[in-house]
Amino acid sequence: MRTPALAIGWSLWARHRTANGLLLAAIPFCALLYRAFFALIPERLAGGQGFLRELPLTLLPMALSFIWVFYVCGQTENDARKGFTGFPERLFVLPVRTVGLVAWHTLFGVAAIVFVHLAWAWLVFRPVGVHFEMRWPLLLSASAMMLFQGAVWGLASFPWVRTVALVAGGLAIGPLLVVTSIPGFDAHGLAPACVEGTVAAMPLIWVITVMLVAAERRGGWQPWRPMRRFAQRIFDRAIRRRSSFASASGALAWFEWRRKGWLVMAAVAVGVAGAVLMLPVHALLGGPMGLPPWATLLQAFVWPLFIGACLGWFLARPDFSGDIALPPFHAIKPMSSGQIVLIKLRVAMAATVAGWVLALPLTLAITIWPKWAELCHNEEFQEVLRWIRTDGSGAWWLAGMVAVTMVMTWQGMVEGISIGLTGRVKLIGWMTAIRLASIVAVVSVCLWWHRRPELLPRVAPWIYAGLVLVMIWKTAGLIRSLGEVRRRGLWTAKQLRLGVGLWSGVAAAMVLGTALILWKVPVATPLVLLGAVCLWPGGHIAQGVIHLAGNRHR
Amino acid sequence: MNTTDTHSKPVIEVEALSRRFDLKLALNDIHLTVPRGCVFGLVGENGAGKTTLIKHLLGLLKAQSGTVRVFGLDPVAAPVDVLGRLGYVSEQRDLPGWMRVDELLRYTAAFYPRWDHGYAEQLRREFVLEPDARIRNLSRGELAKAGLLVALAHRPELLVLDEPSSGLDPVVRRDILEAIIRTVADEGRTVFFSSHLLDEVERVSDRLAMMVEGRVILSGRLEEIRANHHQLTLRFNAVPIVPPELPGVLRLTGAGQEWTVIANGARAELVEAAGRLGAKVVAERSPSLDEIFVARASVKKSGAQN
Repeated sequence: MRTPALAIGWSLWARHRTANGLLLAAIPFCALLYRAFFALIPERLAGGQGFLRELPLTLLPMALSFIWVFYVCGQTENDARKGFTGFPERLFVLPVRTVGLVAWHTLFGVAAIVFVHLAWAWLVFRPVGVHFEMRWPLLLSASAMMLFQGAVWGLASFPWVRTVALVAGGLAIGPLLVVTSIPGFDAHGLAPACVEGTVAAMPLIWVITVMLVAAERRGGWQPWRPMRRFAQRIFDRAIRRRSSFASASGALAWFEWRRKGWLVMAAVAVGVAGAVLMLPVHALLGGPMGLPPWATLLQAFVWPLFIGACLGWFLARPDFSGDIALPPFHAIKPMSSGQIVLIKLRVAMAATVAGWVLALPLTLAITIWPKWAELCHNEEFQEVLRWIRTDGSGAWWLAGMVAVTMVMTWQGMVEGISIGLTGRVKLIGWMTAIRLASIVAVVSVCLWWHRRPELLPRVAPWIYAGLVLVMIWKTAGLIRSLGEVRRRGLWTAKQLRLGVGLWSGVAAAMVLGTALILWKVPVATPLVLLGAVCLWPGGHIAQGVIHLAGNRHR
Repeated sequence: MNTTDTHSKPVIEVEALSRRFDLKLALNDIHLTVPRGCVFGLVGENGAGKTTLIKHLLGLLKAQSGTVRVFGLDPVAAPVDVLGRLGYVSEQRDLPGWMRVDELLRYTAAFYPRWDHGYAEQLRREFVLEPDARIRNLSRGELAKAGLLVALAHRPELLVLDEPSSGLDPVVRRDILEAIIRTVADEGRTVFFSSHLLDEVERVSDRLAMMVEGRVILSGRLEEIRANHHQLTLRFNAVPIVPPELPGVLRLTGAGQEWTVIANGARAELVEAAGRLGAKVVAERSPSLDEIFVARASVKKSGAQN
């Protein structure tokens, strides 16, 4: 390594070289795969953005690769004792000026995101007839990277401020990036103005980032210290535990809630409100993408399920430490693995309910915002909203869907907890990838068949046969895991009954949700059943206990 | 099981325990028995398998072959029954950095019905730990003390310490750690601790086991181990052409006419054999534990290489 720049570039690449290599391999792989899909699309639909209209989920790998590049280029390192840190402290001892350190990281970050953006647009989507607008989106990607790095490094001493800034930035820039990528689509003139403003602010943002990183290098920005101490004192007064715990379960529940529960609650609230906030974007894109208005509305119910699964992995972690395996501090507590899992499930349930309750006023505030209503200009979608607002049955339908989605958010968390409790990063990675791929496959198939109603009668028997097999497989998984939990004595008889009760509750909610969708949403029955069976609870409640026992006694 | 049985049984019994991590054999056919009420020192160099063995005792690792019993129970099958009766201080001191000392005490107390609040407070004062202090702001020594405090305050029947001296200054090590170990043992409870500081083990242990490359190469009462090892300085009449071969020799150093041997076993036989080779004993003393360990380890390693 002859120069610091090369060393920094190499470290960005080498730290995650396998995943980076997979990302690079995914681009030509998807290019070939999409060409194969393209060949299947009838000629009359293939022109313009026809490919995306037929297979919108082909955008998902691109979105995932963007997220990965942001993660890699936001080079942060964990400190087990201090919690999260920002800019890696080990770089501060190198004989390189702060401006140089930040500049090289920024340059590599911007180059990486622009390269990935161009590669997907030109190598993958252009050959299948999809032409993205490039000028503004490229500038926006580069700006987003600079903003992300600035927030991650500059606000390292203020983790909560940083989280809020990142969520707000993501919610603002993500939709802008989507909207400005559609050729000739200006979203009422809002989009270009927003992009121009963002890009113009970049030099100032970068200078501030350098100053904040330089302050971190000197031990933190001194003027903030008294303010931080003051905030800490108030925070402590509000949440510091000053009384003894009545039981071990109470202590563990406090730990889970204090470290993760309230964050999960906030994330559910923001996720639900964010899904509603994004409805205009979906309504705007719904027309050009050829999506039915019901699909636009249903996405608001689907997002919390995804959020639930991600939050489940977070809840499964013992703490914020870098290692996701169970550390001795937790593992040696004289408490059974079954009880620990039940406490995690209880905290997940409380956080879900509290998150949804918190989301309701936020959602209400969003929906009465005139600009929001104005942006939902899609006529068919307005029709659906009118039915919900004015018709009594619409309100009941919405209430039922909210209740079912709340249960399913928790069920998503249960699955996430079960996977996360294995404590094995590679296994979690593989299971996540398989899960995501199966969701993408099912949703793609559903959307495709939705547009090909003439094909459904022919394939319906196959769908039903597949559903029966999936149900048998899931039920067998449930029986097997419950049997193992019982055989190994991981749950007492009472805990076993509770686990079966929880499973039955989720299953009942699933049946209710299916009935509600079949009642009102104009989607073919086999497709609704396909989605329902894929979300049907398997043996995750009991598997979580087996996974934790495996993690605890390796 | 009646009370007499429980009290007469060893606290720890390990039979034919082996553990492999990928290609590395971390534990190789370990046999170990720790009687109740003793201070048991586990010594070995870094990577010898001490922490792996301790993790098996806690049930954090499942035996791939062999058996582990703590209080007569399998720590993997009955974790609650085993863990409720022992206290553990890990080498990593993995206490949650965000907690304050008083929160850590309240949190840990909830898991142990026999938690002694008065004793916990007494230890906290002795260790000079501020209740408001955040764990992440404690020094390494203070962190070790906090770990020791939460391991001791429920008066466990078995105290397991993994490298407890790591990060402690000599004063704390001698005055606090060793005093606590002795106090626990005097109350009839058992201490099992690992260390690579042999002088410390020598000062506090009643029994010890030495580990080298995943094997227990020596185990027994400290006095017996000392009594069975001799260090002799031999003077030969003529310079031996090859290093002299003597029975029970673990380590042989020297050159010319004068050689020093550390040997295990009957002293008389050794002296007689040396006499036959034309050597006489010019000095003799009991080797230190450090010298015994080095001698034993070098024999094990050279055996492994051969």
